[in-house]
Amino acid sequence: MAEDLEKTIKKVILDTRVEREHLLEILWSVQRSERKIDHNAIKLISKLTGISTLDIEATASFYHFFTEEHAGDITIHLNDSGTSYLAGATEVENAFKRELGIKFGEVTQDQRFGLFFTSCIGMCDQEPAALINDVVFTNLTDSKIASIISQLKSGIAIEKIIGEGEGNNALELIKSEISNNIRNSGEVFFNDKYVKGEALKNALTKSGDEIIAEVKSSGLRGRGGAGFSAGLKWEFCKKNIGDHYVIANIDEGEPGTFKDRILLTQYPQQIFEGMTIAALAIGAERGIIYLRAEYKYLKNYLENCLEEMRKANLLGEKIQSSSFNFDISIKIGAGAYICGEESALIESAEGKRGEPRNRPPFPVEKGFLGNPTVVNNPETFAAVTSIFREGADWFAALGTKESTGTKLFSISGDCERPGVYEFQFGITVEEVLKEVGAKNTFAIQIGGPSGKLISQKFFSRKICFEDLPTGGALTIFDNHRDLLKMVKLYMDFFVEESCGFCIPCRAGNVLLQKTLTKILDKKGTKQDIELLQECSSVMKIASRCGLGLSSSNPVTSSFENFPEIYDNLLSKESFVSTFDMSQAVAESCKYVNRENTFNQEGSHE
Amino acid sequence: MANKPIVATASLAGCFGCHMSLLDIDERILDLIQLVEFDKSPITDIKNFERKCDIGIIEGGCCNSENVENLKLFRKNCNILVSLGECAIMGGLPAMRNGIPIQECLEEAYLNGVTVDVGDEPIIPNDEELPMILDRVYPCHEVVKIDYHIPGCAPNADLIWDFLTTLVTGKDLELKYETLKYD
Ligand SMILES: Cc1cc2nc3c(=O)[nH]c(=O)nc-3n(C[C@H](O)[C@H](O)[C@H](O)COP(=O)(O)O)c2cc1C
Ligand code: SF4
Repeated sequence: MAEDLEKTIKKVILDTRVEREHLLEILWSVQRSERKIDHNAIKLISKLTGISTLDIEATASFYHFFTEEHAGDITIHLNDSGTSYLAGATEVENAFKRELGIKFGEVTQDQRFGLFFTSCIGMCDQEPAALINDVVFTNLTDSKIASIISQLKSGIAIEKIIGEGEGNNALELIKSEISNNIRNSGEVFFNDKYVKGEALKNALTKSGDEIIAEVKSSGLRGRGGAGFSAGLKWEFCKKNIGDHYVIANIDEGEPGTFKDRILLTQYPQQIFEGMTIAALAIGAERGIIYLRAEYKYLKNYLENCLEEMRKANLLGEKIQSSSFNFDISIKIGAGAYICGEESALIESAEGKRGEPRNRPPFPVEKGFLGNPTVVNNPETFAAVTSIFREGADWFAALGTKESTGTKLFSISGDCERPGVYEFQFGITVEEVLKEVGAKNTFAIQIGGPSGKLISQKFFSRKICFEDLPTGGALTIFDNHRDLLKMVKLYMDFFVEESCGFCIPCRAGNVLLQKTLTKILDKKGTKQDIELLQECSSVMKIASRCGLGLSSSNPVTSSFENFPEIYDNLLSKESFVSTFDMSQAVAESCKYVNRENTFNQEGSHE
Repeated sequence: MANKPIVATASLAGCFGCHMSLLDIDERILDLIQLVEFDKSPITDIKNFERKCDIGIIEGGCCNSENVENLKLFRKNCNILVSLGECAIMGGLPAMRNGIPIQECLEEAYLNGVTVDVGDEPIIPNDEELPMILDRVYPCHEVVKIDYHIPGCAPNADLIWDFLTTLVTGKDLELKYETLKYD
């Protein structure tokens, strides 16, 4: 066993050279073959790589797909995010428990199956969804689970029991049962105007500064949420000295967001070409795709696309017979939402814990391995490709003055046609609702949990950076949904995903979560509302990175726009105790074998 | 004399450090008893509530069922209830066991710990007179309504003095920087 493990690790090391940045790959190889990363494995990795055991342990323990205990030969990760709950995850949860006879967080006695929850896996338009050993299962129902588990128990391979996917998902290299659900066509992305290499050839006729000037004049702003000018970012990066890098941020972990998955499945060449143009502009020779582990099913397909681009001399050495060299490699995450934050992403790409860095210095100054680095969302890169095909003026004429071009929207929740849409910036919320077939809409979570919960009074507003900004995720709730429960689910997400480095975020999210639970249990008072507000405002000032700075948004925006969902549940008393004596002594009574005669209040029954 | 506010105090899951700090107001205790009258308290050794009190001061959080009963008794018999010090406010040092299963805690304390006398046959105490240990240590305000929290470990004697005198005289309390900063 130990020899096998040594061989497995050595193979990764040989494939990749022993450098720190490959630690995650090594850890993945161990997790995949041993189903766990225990102390023995860590000692072995340390011996073979020279990285200290403590360092390896600290890194492995950061990512939730790496486990110290055996995670089952078949590891099931059910998405427990808000949209999954909207689609009936509770029924699915029970079906898994029933079929396997274990609870979530447990492994069957024979270690064949492990059952776990995971945060959003980017399938919000086809929930409930789960990952079973990296294979995605969508639209789960009670009977579908019964059938999946009985087939797995009888030894049928996981890959053999999935249904047919749509579009490129059906390709041999992907072979997933996922649907793209592209619902319209658009000027920039959803059309067949792309001709491989056309944009890059155009860019190759220009200098770096000219390329940057063109991106700037297109008005293109980053599509990952914050909307920073892409051209400016490239200009800053180019000015700094070092080996420049280009990174595509495909961590897409914000619950409700899945548009990058569609770009990756149907239009990966446009992302890669945009990255190549960025590299040409800033003088980079190396590009990295940071792909979230949940999208690992796309890896072989993407590798193949890269290979085809190399064959067409669109990547590699002396691209299109110029003196420009550039190539792209893929790095896989291991389950951590915070790795979408660009400096945490860089740490993770370097093979470390994905903790955000102090900024400044920004990645454009000191990014990957301390070098000037451009990190952009894949949609930003794909938009660049269209700009160098159709022209900056053409792009700038789309959308609004401050938010040019079109935007991809991830639409989920209560509507007839969930999926991905391309709209020009400036579209109103109302227009979007009409397009997607949403009826009786009561509220929308715009921009994912770190965005805002908006009410009907926002529906006439325009979606663009000068009015209602968003990374493009809209989760729609109609009037029969329990909004406060959704807010609580969002806080569950942040409690799980906070990296824990700084106290306002580590403790603040837990406080918000616990207080919301108290209010949902009808035990909240006016003071609890004050606590929610005070705690949120401290987090918005004192957190170290964007996660903690925005994670109280579901609470503050729901309070602002839907005060009644709180008021209706508040107790009139000035204090309601949450303490339950009978529950609090249950464990010790059981252990010393004494009868538990306490009731909830603490008197004896 | 009859109109002096009546004060009761208790130490739950604490180390008596807060009570020691109360005594640290030194000779001002003589001034204090001009202002208030002490009733049920380890200081007076009065064991039971015989009358309603104005101010109850609680040191320590709740780690067992008796602490909870005591705290509820104080809430019932005191008009104003005060959490004094870190353990009452947050659980303090005793709360370091939170997150460790009860069985592990009891076995470490009574069976496997280095201070367990190996000569005897060690047992987990389970006399029916003994209270039950709670699943975790609770801060007082999770169990009953607490009106004031006095921070510190232990709270500085001057802070306790200022708090009690302003409370009794009805003035505003100014929390000085030194009384809140510990390093
Ligand atoms: C907690 C957190 C998570 C993030 N997740 C993502 C993500 O999944 N994808 C993304 O492109 N940007 C994400 N971002 C924003 C990135 O830090 C960065 O701004 C972005 O990748 C820059 O690309 P753009 O300018 O093209 O938008 C996240 C930020 C924070 C604070
Ligand atoms: S704000 Fe949250 S995620 Fe960001 S550094 Fe602090 S603890 Fe980590």
